[in-house]
Amino acid sequence: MANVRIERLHKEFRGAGGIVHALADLTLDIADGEFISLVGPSGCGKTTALRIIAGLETPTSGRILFDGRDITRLEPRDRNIAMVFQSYALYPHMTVRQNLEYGLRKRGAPRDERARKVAAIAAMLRIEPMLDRRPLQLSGGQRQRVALGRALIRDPEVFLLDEPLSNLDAKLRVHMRAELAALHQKVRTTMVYVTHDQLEAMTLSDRIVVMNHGVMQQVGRPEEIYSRPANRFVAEFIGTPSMNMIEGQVRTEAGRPLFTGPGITVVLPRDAPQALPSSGRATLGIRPEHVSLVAPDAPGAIPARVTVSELAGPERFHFVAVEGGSIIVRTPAATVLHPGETVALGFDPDRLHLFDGTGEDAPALR
Amino acid sequence: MAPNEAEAALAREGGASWRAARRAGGLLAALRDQHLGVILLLPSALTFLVLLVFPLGYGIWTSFFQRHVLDPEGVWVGLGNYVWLFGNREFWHSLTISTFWAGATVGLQIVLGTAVALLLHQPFKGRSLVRGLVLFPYMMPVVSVVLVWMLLYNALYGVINYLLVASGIVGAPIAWLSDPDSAFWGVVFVGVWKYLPFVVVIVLARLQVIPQDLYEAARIDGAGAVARFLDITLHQIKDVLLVVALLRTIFMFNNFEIVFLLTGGGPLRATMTLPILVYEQAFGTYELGRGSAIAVVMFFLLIAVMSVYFAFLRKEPD
Amino acid sequence: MPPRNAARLYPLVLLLLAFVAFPLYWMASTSLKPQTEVFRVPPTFVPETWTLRHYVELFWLTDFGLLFVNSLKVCLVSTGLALVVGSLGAYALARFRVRGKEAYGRLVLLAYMFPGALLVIPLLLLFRQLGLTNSHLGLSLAYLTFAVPFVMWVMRDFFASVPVDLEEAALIDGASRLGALWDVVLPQAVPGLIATGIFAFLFAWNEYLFALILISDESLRTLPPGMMRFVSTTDTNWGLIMAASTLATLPMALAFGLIQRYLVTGLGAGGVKG
Repeated sequence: MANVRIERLHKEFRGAGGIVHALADLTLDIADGEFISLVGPSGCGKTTALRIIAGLETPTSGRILFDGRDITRLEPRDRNIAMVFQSYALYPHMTVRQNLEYGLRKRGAPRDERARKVAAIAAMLRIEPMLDRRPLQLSGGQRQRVALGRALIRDPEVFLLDEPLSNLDAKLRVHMRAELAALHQKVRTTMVYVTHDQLEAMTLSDRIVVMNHGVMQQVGRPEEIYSRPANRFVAEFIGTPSMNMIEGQVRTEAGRPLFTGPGITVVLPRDAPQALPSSGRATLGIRPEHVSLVAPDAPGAIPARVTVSELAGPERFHFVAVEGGSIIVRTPAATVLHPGETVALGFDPDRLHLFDGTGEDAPALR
Repeated sequence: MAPNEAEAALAREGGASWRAARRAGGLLAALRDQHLGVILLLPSALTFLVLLVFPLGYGIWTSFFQRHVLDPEGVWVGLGNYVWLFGNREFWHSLTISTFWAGATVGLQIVLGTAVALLLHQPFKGRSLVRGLVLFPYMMPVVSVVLVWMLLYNALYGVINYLLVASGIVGAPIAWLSDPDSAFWGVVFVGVWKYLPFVVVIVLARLQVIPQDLYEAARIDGAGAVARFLDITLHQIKDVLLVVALLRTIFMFNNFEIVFLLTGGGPLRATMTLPILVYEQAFGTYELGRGSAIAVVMFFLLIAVMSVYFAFLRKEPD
Repeated sequence: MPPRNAARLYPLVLLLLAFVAFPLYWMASTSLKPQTEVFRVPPTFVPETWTLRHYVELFWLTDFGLLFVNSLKVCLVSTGLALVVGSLGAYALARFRVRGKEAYGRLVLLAYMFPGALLVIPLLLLFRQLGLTNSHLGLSLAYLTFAVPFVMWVMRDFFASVPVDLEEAALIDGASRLGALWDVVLPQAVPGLIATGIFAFLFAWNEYLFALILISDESLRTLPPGMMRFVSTTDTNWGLIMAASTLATLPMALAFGLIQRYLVTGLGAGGVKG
């Protein structure tokens, strides 16, 4: 086990269309035994970062240190890491046992040690009955377990996982997610987990790194990322359905900060933003669960018309039209609204997010 | 990062990887991707250089000489061989024969091959056995093919003539390969027979990946069998047919064995293709320079057709 | 639809089979007929008298055995060399970022299309300088001119179809780059290598021009030119010639039976040449 330090990591690819910056100036400290997720849309650099930690790519500049040792230029085999691939990458011509053993064999482990470790891992992952089968004869979930086992068996210092659950069907994915969490509790190895699924990142991680266009947007504990997103991109990327965004202006009126958007005026809590945006342009964000249905004559009530109402198990999502666009409201399933119905919305003033500007990278005002 | 800094970083990367590898203790470990890639390419590059590029250059060089096989030097004649060539009726005659030979064999291979592939695409009992058997002509050695067709074509006791006469289609046996009127089609038939399996297999493979729902959609839209063939099948396989036709044309154009062994270019030069003319000039009349000049012209024809092919590939990335 | 449709198809299928298989049948059946029956008109479609005489004569009265062994030697050597040299190159083309890779790939295809007539003159002159004429090694090397590009062309796609993840997993498991190639990629590529090797062997087994020009020593001659001499030298003993043709076909028939499953791969790429 080891802590991992990523220092000013930079990666460029030279393609036909010129230089592509896959990763820009990533600095990150990962504690020993931590479960950290890199999350972001495809092409955000999360996989590149993982592959550089693995040694499958060489960074253009920057360093990687394991427990203070610079391993940036070492070959993958010289770094005591293990990796689970999205495709599992099980060797098709080898049995499950041979797959599990391969890494030990390459490191010259004696036969009895290999047998002992295979038995232990197989017991832990409940794959003993299939040790002599080949990967093609296994189900998706079984392959997934073998892939985990092949990585775990070597007691790696750092465990890398590249979208390991994305090839499973929805039900199995939830199940394996829980197994993975339990596994980390048990082995306590440093784990770096890459996913585009923010829900996986939220449920599994000690900390989350949100990335976009090769740049780290925010790093923090899941609840931190969820409740205090650093910028508009993070706010919209984390959470389903997405945070509602309303673009408008901020000004001060009678000593109180006011947000005005199309047909909406929201009085901001007096202590909310330390500094108001210089340009006056701002984006107001509010999560669907922080929008409530209020009486039409309540102060600050925003008139809206229901367009669609969806039942999602224990709760309902209502898509309502306001003057400037559409807002999603999340309520318990018992709240029934009909398309065409007129309602009034109220925003929880303590849960408002204000962003400086209207672009994707607009930083949160605190 | 400024470009020159990036360059410097890359240069550092090279040096550092070397050192890291030395530390890690293996020469092979030092081979970052590019180096190992180049090393793996070396044997084939060497093969190409020694056995293809150099001979090609040497062949072009030789085409500027008048030179006998056993003559180590030869006499420089500059473009003399080419002047001779382009003023020579034999050359133009052979170019025409070669073109017709390639055109006829490839045209028939494409049409018949597509038809056979469509037939073998239908479900019927014993289909996989028939599919296997259709490949037989292809794996039969050229010499065996030539010999058996010589026997089949024989004017006195050949079975083809027997069947034709017995069924009353012709009045008297035809000396297929020694009659200038029939020899060309005689060799074309063998060429088609031998290389038909290529087209069949490739078209069949393509037919198998046409999505079935295209046909179902067309059926619902009211398309009949003919319309379905023209609008869906033909449309789907036309790219494959084009590529196959192009590459097969080059191959048939360059093919030496089939015609040479069946007729030697005769009778009365009725089947004298360019490769046979090269052979005749170089090893029959011992004019290596002239033979080389013809071969060089063939090479430039090849380059021209291949450029069309590469342009096509660029336009339609698979 | 099958039954009704199938009944309509069978006449066409039979026609196709007759077209394809009759020459093969004729070759084999003629080789089993006595000489007098071969020349009979009308011909016998099923041999009246069966005899293996021609096969015995082939080995006692002609140098067929020697030709066969010579061919086998030359073809095995060239196929082996081509597989090693070509696969290494193909793997590099499929996997590595090497400058000029695409251009090199095109050169390979171009090389594969080179007419033998173009190469035979300079190769003869070159090999004579190097003492490689009248040498089985020389002829094997000449066959590399088409075998290496062919192997590279086919195996490149084959290697490209082996998932990169597998190799990366092996690297992380502690294998070196070449170790990953050996442990993980090659086992995946074995069927492809066998099929490709059989095709390369077939091309060499077929080749006539180089064999005719580069070898003049009787004792070194290979099958294709050797068999063609039977036509003139043995007073066209067709039974004997058909026996030789059948035996020359046999290794290829066996090999193709072995790889039937992979034929499409090989032929697909081989669609270029024969």
